[in-house]
Amino acid sequence: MQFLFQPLVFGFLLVLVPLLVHLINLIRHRKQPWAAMDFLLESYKKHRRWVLLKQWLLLLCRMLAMAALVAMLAGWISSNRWLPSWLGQQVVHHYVLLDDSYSMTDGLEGETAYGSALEAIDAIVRQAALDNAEHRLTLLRWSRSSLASQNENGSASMAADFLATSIPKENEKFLDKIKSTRPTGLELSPESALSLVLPVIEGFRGEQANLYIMSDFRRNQWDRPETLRAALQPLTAAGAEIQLIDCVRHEHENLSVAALEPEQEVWVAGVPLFIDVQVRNHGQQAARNVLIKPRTIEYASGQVKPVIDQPFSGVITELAPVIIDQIPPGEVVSRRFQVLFESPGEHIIEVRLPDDSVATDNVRACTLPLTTGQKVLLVDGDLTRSNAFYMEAALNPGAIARTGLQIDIHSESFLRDESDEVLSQYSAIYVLDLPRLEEPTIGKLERFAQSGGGICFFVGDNADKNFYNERLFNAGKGLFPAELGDAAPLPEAAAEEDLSDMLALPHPVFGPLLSSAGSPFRLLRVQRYVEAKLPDSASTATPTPMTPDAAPDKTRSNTGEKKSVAAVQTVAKLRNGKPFILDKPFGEGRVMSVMTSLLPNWTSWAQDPTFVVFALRSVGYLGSFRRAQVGVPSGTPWSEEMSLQRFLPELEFLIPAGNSGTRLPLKSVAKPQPKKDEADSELKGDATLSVFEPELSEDLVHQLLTPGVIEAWRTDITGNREVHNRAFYALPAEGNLQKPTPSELIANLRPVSVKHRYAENLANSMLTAGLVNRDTLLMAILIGLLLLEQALAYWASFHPPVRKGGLV
Amino acid sequence: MPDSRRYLPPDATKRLGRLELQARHIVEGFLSGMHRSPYFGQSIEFVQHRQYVPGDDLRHIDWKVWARQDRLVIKQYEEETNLRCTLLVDGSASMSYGKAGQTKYDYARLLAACISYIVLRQQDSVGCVVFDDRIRARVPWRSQHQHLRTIVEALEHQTPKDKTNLDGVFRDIVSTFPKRGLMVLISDLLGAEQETLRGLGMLRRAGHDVLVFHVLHDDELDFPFNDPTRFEGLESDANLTCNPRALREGYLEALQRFLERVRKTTAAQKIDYQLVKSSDAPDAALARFLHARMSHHSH
Repeated sequence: MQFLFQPLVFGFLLVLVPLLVHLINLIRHRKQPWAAMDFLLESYKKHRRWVLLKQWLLLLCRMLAMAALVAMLAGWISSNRWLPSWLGQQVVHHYVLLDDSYSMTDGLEGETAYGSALEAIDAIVRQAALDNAEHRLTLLRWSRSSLASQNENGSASMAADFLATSIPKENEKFLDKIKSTRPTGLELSPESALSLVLPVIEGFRGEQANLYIMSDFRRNQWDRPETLRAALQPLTAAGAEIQLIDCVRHEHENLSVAALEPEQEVWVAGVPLFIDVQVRNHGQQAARNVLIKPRTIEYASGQVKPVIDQPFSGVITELAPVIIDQIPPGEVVSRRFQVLFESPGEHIIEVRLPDDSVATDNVRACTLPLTTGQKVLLVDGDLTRSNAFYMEAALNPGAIARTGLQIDIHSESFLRDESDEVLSQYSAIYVLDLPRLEEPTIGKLERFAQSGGGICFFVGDNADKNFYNERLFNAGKGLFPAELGDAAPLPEAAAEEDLSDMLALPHPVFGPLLSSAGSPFRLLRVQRYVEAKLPDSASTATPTPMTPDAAPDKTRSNTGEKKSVAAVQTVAKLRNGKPFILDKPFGEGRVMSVMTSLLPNWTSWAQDPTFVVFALRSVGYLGSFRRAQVGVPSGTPWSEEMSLQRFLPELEFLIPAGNSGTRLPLKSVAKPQPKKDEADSELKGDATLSVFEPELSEDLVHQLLTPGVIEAWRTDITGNREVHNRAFYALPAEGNLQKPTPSELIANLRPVSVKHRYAENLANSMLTAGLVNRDTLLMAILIGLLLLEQALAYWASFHPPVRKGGLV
Repeated sequence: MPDSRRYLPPDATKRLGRLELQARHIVEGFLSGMHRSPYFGQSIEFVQHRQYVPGDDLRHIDWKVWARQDRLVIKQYEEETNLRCTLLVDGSASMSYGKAGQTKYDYARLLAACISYIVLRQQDSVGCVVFDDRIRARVPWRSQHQHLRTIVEALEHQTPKDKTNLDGVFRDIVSTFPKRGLMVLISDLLGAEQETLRGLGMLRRAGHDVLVFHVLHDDELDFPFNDPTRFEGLESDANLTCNPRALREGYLEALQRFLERVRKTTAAQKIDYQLVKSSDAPDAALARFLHARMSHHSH
């Protein structure tokens, strides 16, 4: 038994008062000499048993009434389960679907939406513990539900913190477990939790099902309610009473780092590289003078050792801040800053925004794997290798500027003779006006592109139109982006025309050139070009290298499986509207074609400065599709693949541990992978870092769902430590704090019947409701006992009798 | 200081003077009187007229006076007989119940004095016996008016104590009072019920005319107790702690049954029985009793 007011428990000693009064009355009775004792004794003998029975019943009733009174005053709560059944009460099952996306960290001065949700759960649990009926709790966090739903056998038991658990009267530890939970760095919606909780509700039919959806109810998730309605309707059909517990009353201003990615250039140590950063203003007012603080963490190969008590093992260098004058509401503004790493290694770039109501999306990091050089293969069919000359001049100007590129110039026989493994060392292959290719070569180039490599064709006098169309274009199935036509001169421009011969469309290869006010191609001349007939699905839409508010590369899944991609895209057009540069996805890689030769009798572009930009950026662009992702959304499983011939299978992950600065180490062992074929001589293994690993603690799981950089330290067979970094970021869409009004929310979900309540109101109403229920029960018991006492007292003739005469 | 006036307040004496005691049975006497006697004739001497008051026996109206004067008067006679009246006053412990000065014994003494006065006033002799389980005081018969003081003194000197034993006492009286006379028993009759009734029968069989004034206290008839009480027997060691309200009904039932048995027994043995409450005025009780006897004997 428990009582709200423990000191009043001593009041139960008052139960002895009726007994004491009875005993005192026995002692303190008046003495009465009496003559007619015979008649009195006769009456006593006749009624003795009844008189004693009535007296004891009356005494018992008075003691019980006193106990009930004290219990009511002391706030009696029952831990016995027989009471509800005795009273015919129903088991109450509280289903709490808790939004732990990072927008739930929204709040000022330490009071967060997630904190409000925990207080609401606290109120539910405490009130349930006070109630006489049996209460059960099922708690599903959206994050765990989302992760469990990714599993084929995902069920509520995998995701639930509590699954139909009876709420104990001693609930401090129970609540401590709930309060130890924290919001994650994930973007989440309630569908997974709703789908997981449905079988549970259906499995516990007959109980009173109270479904609490505790969230901040942002427009992102709740303005498109079709799927939510579909998920909620079965729940109401199963008898659940749905309450939307709104944990946020007001919208706050919020900025988030929408994207952070190195530009698609040559990623080589010692070569400056621009980093693009995008900041989105999710608020209703323009953000002014936004200060972006970038910093680099350098992991020079062979020079860095794992440091567990620091946020990074690498060397941190603060960079000059970047200021954005103004970000209009709802807009994204891009800035870029330059970084330079002298040593190769898996470096990290991190940017940080000023503090606002949501801190999670104010920080974002990306990895930057740098090598000592990037190999480029130029294949020139001409003996003079004129095209290769111009290309090499652009890519490797010598001592003038270090590009970090290693240029190899070979003939077509190189492609034919070398293996795929040798070709895979090149980040890009430029096929410069080859007349035709041999079949093995075509196969190698196709495999090269499919595996993520980039190929760029230049076509001129030597290109065999028929061969290209039949074998390389192959009705759109081959490497080449378009069907070749005849070479044609570009007509002279009319005097009144003020157009450049070439018109560049937005594309990464022209990124910096497009930002200039006028056309940078005014000086170049195109005399001739090869006509290209685009397939029907071609478009002029241009892929953007950075996709704000989303994963950077939507064309590839985490498993590398090719998704549906856009068709051939025009990157640049001629003055007469004919396509000049085309871009076609092929497998994991890309194939570009420039519809001209670099020779002066075709165009002067090779001597134009813009060609250098194109050449360098095309290498970066074409080579970018084989690069590892510089960042992945929080919660993405990490399968670290490595050669077991080079590295020991044991490796150690260093996982950030919140704001403490120290990190949580996690040992792992790479499991050997089965060989794909007999020719594959290298033994590989992989170590998986996933929240579903059973041995992970709650802290580790939480950190794996939180943005940050995780270091994977492995040891090669010579004992050297080598790090592989992976940056996890928060998807910025969750940072949009706009929310519908309660009436909009309810209207959107109709015809599903839901109640909207704010979290603090829920806590207050739960407490009030509980007190009424408990007091009503006790008051009813007390009144019943008092009525019984009166009846017994009358029965036992303890009330002054109605005065009636004696015998005479 | 014994004082007959203490028991005979002036107003009571005046009212008692109007009462006439008529023996219902012929008693043996050596003096001729106005009473009917199986042995001698009776004589009635007219004393006075008085105004008729409601309740007077119509047979005693002087119709001649009414015819002459058109007013109703009662003829009053002074009866003379050689009546020997014995007052048997219960002095057992049970008679001590009641407040000081208002006990049943006090009431019995008052009643005895009243009867003594009446008897002496009509020139008959009266004696007195105070008893409990035995005879504690005995006053012989006398017919002088001064004898009243002797009787009062005898009553005054006794205090209630010990048990009641009517059977033994009456056996003693029957053996020591061989001549038939009027036995007036003033008692609460609380004791061994069978012995009590047997003792009354013994008196009646000995030829005595028996009058019983059954004196009970109001409390004994009403049982008005509310609070938890320890009842301690006045004539026994029995005691009982109880809630009186719980036992009241049963007590009154038992008492009622007792009274019924006493009434039936006395009626069967032609014993005049009158239940009087200690709160009743003694003269009123006497008047009611004597009226009842007179009515009874006239038939």
